[in-house]
Amino acid sequence: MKSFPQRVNKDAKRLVWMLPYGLVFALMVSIPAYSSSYITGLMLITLMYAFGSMSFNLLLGYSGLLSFGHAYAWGLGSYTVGMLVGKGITDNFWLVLGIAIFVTGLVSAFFGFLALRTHGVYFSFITLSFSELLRSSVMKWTKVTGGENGLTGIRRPFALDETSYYYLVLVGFVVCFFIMKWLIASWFGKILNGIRENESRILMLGYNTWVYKYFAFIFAGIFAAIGGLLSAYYYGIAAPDHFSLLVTGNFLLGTLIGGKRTLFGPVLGTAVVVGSNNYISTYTEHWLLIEGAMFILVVTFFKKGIFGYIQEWWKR
Amino acid sequence: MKNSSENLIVLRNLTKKFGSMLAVNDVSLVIEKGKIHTIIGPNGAGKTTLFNLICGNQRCTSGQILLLGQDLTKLPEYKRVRMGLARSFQINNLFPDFTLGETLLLTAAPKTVGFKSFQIAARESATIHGLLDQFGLADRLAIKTKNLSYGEQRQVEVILGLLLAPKVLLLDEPTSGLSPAETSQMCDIIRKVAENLTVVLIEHDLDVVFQLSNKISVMNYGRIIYEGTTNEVRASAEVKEAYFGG
Repeated sequence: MKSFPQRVNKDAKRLVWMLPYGLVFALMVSIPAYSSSYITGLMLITLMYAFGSMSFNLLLGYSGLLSFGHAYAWGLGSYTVGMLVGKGITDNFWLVLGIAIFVTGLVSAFFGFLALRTHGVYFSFITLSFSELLRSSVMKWTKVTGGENGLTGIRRPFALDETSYYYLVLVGFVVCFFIMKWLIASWFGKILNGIRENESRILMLGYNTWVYKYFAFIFAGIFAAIGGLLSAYYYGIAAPDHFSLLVTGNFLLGTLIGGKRTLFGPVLGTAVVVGSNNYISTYTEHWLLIEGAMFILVVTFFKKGIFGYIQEWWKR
Repeated sequence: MKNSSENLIVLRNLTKKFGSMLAVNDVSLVIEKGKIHTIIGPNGAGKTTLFNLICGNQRCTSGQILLLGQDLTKLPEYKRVRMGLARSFQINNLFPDFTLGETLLLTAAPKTVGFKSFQIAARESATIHGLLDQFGLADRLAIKTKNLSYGEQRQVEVILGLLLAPKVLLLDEPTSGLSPAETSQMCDIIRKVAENLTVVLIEHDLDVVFQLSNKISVMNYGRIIYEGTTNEVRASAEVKEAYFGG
C-alpha cells in the first residue's frame, strides 16, 4: 500500500509534539513543590474547570453544538457529592464517582433526547433551560438540596490534604485528557468533525448524524460532571451556583481563548480565565465586566484562540 | 412492465408540492439496472427535486419510491444510502476545511455507532488510493478541498459517491461549470463507472447526454413529458418544443 504523502514528515512532527506534552506534565507535577499554595490552588481549580472546558469543546469545537446550559452536568456532579458525602450516606470516593457518572449519563440521555430535536440557537436555549431548571429546583427543594445554602459537610476523599488532592485531580485530568484525545482520533470523532462542517453531506454518506451528536452530548455531560464532582470535594460544598450560566460562561470563555477544536487549547484557556478572574477580582468587584470585555475581544480578533495560533504557526 | 429484477428504481406517482406549486407532478419512472438513464429538461423542470425525493433529502407529498422492490418512501436519507443509493450534488457540497484524504476517509467509518466506531480512525485506505489513482488525483491527498480546482471538486463529488459502493449513483449535473477538456474527462469517468453500476444523470449539455445515455427522460413543469432512447429523443418534436420553445 502506498503511503499518504508527507507521512514521514507528519510522524516526525508528532514525535516533537510529545515533547511539549511531557514538559507541561512535568511542570504540573512539580508545581506544588516549588510554588506557593496559592498558585497550586489556582492550578487545581484550572484542572477541575478544564474537565468542563474540554467537554464543552467536544460539543462546540468538534460537533458544532453550542450549549448554554453545560453547567447542568457540572452541577449534577457537584450535587451527587453533596447528597452522598455531605449527608453522610457514603464516603467511598469510587462509589460516588460511579453514581455521578451513572446519574449524569441518565440525565444527559434525557436532556440530549429533547435538545437534539432542535438546531442552532434553539439548541443553545433549550440547554440553558435545563441548567436553569435544575438550578431553581435545588433552590426550592430545600429539604433535600439545602436550598440556597447548598449542601455542606463534604470531606475530601481519603482525607487528602490540598497537595495530595491536587495530585488526585491531576491523575484524573490526565486520564480524561487521553480519553478525549482518543475519542477525537476515533471514527466517532472524525464523523463528529464532518457533522460540524457539513451535516447534510454526512447524512448522504450513510451516517445517522443524530446518534453521533447524542453520544457526544452524553459523553460531554459525563466529563463535566467529573469536574463538578472534584470541585465539590475541593470546596466542600455543592451550591445552586454550580448550575449557573456563569459556570457555562467559564467553559465557553476557556474554550474560545485557548482555541476550540484543539485538544489542549481549552485547558490553556481555562488557566487564563481562572488566573485572570482571581487576579482581577482582588482589585475590583467588577471582574465580570472585564471577563465580558475579554470575551468580546477574543471572538472579534482572536478567533482561533491561543493554541489555535500556536498550531498554525507550528504547521508552517 | 419488464421483469422486476431488472428494475432497480421504481417511482410510482411521485408528487412534491411546495405550497401550491407542483415541483414534481405525478411522476412514474423506472430506472433499469446497468444503464445510464439521463433526465433532461429546462431549468426549474423539477429534476433536482426529483433527485432529492429519491435520495430522501426532501419527502414526497405523495407517491412511492422502490429500490429493488423495497419501499424507501418513508426512510431517512442515511438508510437509503446504506441500501445502495448514492448521489452527487449540483453545487459542490463538500467539506471545505478537510483535506482530500480526510474527506474521502469519512466514507470509511463504521456505518452504525458501535464498538468499532471508537477505534482509532484509519489514516489511509487502499480503496481510496486505488480510486484516486484512476482519477489522477493521487498527489492531491493532503490538499484542502477548498483549495482544489473547481473541476477536481466536481470529481470528488463523484468519488465520494463511488466510495459508498452504491447500486445506483445519481449524478446531478456532473459537468456543470467544467471546461470542454474537463467535460470530456468527466464523460470518460461516467462511462467507466457505469460499467459496474447504474447511473442516473441530470445533464444540460446535450452533447454529453446523447453521448452517454442509454435512455432519456424529458421533464418539464414537474412532469415527465417524454421517454425514449437517444435517437428517439433527438427526433422528438415535444422535446424540441420544451427546450427551444418550438
